Amino acid sequence: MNKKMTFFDWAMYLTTAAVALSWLIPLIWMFATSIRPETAPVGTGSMLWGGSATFANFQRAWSAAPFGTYYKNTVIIVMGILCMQMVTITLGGYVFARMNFRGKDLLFVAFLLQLMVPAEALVVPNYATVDFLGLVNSRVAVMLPYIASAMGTFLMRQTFKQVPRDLEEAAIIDGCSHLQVLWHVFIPVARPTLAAWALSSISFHWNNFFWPLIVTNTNEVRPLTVGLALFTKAAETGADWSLITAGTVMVVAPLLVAFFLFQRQFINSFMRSGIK
Amino acid sequence: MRSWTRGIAAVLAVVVLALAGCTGSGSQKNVELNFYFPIAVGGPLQAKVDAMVTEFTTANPNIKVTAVYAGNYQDTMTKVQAAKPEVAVLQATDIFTLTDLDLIVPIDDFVKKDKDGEAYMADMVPAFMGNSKLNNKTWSVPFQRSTVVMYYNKDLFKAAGLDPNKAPANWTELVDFGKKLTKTDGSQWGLEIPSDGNPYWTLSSLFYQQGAKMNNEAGTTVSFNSAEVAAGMEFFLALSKTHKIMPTGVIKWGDVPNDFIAGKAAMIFHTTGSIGAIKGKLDPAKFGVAPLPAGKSFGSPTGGGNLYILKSTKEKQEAAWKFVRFLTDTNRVAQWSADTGYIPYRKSAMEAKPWKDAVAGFAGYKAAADALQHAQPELATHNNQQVLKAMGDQLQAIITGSKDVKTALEQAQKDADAILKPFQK
Amino acid sequence: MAQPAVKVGPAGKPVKRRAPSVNWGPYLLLLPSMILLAAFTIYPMLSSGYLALFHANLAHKEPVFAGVENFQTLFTSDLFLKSLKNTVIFALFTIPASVLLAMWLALQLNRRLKSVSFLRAAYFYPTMLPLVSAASVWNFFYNPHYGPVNLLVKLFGGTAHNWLGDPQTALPAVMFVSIWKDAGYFMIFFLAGLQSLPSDVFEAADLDGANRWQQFWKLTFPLLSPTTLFVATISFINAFKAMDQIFVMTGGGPENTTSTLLFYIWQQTFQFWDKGMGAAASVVLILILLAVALFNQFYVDKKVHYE
Repeated sequence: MNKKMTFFDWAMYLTTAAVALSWLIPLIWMFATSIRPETAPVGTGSMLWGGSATFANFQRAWSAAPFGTYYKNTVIIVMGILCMQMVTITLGGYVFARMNFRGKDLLFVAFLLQLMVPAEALVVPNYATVDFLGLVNSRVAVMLPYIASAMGTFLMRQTFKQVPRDLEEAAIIDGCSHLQVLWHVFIPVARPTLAAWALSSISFHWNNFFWPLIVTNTNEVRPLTVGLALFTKAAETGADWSLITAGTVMVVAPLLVAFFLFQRQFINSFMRSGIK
Repeated sequence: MRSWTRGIAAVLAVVVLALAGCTGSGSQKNVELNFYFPIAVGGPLQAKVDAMVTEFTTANPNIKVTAVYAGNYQDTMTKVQAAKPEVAVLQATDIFTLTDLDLIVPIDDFVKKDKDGEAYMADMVPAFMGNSKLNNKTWSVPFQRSTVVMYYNKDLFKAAGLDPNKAPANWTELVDFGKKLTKTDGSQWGLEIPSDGNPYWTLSSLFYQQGAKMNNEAGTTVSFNSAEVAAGMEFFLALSKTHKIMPTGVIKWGDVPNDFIAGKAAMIFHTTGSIGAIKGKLDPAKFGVAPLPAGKSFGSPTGGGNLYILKSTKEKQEAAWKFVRFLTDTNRVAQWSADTGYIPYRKSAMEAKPWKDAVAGFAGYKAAADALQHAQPELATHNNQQVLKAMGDQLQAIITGSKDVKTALEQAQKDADAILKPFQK
Repeated sequence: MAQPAVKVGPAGKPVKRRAPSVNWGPYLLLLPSMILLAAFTIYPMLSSGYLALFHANLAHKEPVFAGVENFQTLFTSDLFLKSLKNTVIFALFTIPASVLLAMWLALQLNRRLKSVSFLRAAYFYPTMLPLVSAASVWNFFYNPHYGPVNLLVKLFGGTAHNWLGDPQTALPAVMFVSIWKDAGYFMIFFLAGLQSLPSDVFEAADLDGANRWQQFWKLTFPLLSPTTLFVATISFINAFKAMDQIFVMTGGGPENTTSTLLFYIWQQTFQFWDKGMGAAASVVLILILLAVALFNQFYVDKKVHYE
């Protein structure tokens, strides 16, 4: 909307800008405290500045918990989920967009159910299933409930529905099978959507906490979020804020840096993957 | 067609190789143990545990121990139930839950087989064996044990005109000192006692100081609504409401040491396990550790974790016992305590060099060990978690003022009785 | 979607589709998804219902059939009812707050000013943080002695408060963290919605002399209703999923004022080992989610203004 801004408009806008700065405070504090020396404990002196900056907290955090392993696990889990999701949502989206078959509506409702009842609500029975399969404490167990993504499938269905019919027909006339049509016609058109989905899936699963908490027991398979939470929840002593924030920074840094560098892509991808 | 037969041959080959691989390890007498442990105090303890494990494996090459850090006590309990390792550190009070779930084996047979078995058990500090016996059997040995003590700021004592080497010895002195140490503008409080999460553990010290007995040995009944417990809670409330030496409302466990270090609280109740963390940030000359002041008597709950051997093959259990004996060896106990602030649970360990050195370096360690004389076993019952929560909820209601002491304690008793009913056969 | 039986190609001759494989095709292609969906979405819903009918806890070494007893206990349990109430309050408050905040932010940031992209990032970045981490930072912020929230309050002349320790303020404090975290995320959807509004309608309104407020209420707001519905739905699900921040900030307290339905389920199952009760509470959660989703689908959806 290109209208000229009135005084009222400016007042509202500047208020929003001021509030935005306050939105940033938790982030600023987190970074400031992570470089705060141990000799200037939080709660004494200034809130943001400890007198000098140090990276010792990061070293302490790194040696206090196996962050390297946590990183490895998170990357494996996130990439594993994404790769498998690409397959399931593309196939699923294509089937619902372009094919007719008996029971289509029923299966569609089955997918809808997943949108209505998220995986978190089903933690208890899903844990029992994973236990039954002997997969407790494995990265696979963390991935399983998320591979068949209803949201992704619907997104791809939406995208595929918009593929022009003549492209498809041309391929069929050339004698392509379904899978070939999918590969040569549909997927190229859907590339931006797939990229958008990738960003949103990676963000979600990098930050996922509850299910991985339940289903992992040992450091070997724990992802960053669970490792960090356990690291933070030392029961018998007080909170060591410089250490906690150093650990937190290590967990959030990759996504945040990627976000600030590729802001527009991230925001566009979330926009796209949400609208039904 | 040929590609098919080749394919089948390949698959068969892989299957055969895989099976061969599986049976390969059976020939040596190697035992593999999984050891699950919680870390409940700050510091690089995981590295220390790993070091002990490596030492053991070097000395016992046919026993492989994998140490798994599993979070705090509750998380570890959850993981242990799921993963069923061979040996684990769990709360001493988990004894009922573990026997109800039929997960553990008693250690009496192992003790009998050891030449020094009897001497070993006799060497344990009695206060820490309190929660280990059930049905005439012993089920665990201590590993990382603590109790509640008082930390006090010597500088602030001096500034208030108090003797910096004398902590309050009883409730009257506690209130008295507290008043002198509290500044009306709220920048300094005389006392802080944490009450968030489940406040039961810390507050039970006040109950014991009134002479309360909280549960029966069989773990099937509790006594929450006794006069002693009520007296303890009334005193606690009075500290903030009447005497105004403590902030009102719920105080977070994690904040208390920080407040102490920052000089915002002159005296605090906290676990001995925090000695290490506080010493790391505050000059040891500036603060002292002392047993909690006495009500009708001295008293504080023991806390912390014990070593349990879980059900598995006979071979594994014996290897697990060997590991337990290793971890609880006198010198090791002394060293572990000196490193962490957990109190030595073996009388001989109190005389061992690492501990004596620690005490020489900081008198607070000795005070912590002295506090043991008056320590009592923790509340332990069947379905412990739920009973603790029933009591904790009501204690919180008292602290926030939504219920008065009598009503809340009656409710706690009622709820606990309902939870324990199925166990009272 | 009906397709003509015979397609006519460019030369006017009928084009034959590869008929035989079509019958198996869809099912095969859907198979991986269906297996996983069945195992991790559909089966769990049913098995919760089944397990809820048994006593499966520490007092019963083997599960014992209990019929509806678990549900009876559930609905007479103070803790459960409180958890249910807390979750409903959580939803009733955070949904309108989040929707209105996000809509307002979107309206403000839907301008062609250079600073907009910085402000957008400032509001959106919390979406990139794990909720657990954000919660641990807010734990500090709410600290009664030196947390910034109290510092700010004192700056404005108020008295410091124990936000997470006071049963009256703990739940609002936790709700605010959710609102803070999701504001930017929802704002993006409204921005997208605003940018796809047809400009001709507004031009016509201008010509008719309608002022800014009238245009907003009569045009913008109704036209945004699909987005509003979408955001409200996500916000609702987030309220019923609320777990991470409670785990880290309050552990369900003080006095169970921040115990949500999911927290209750976790506590019963993984702390008290009462799988029967955990399953029963899960059934309640699932039914609520389904009921609201169906209500959405068949009632609200019809009322929402689609172009």
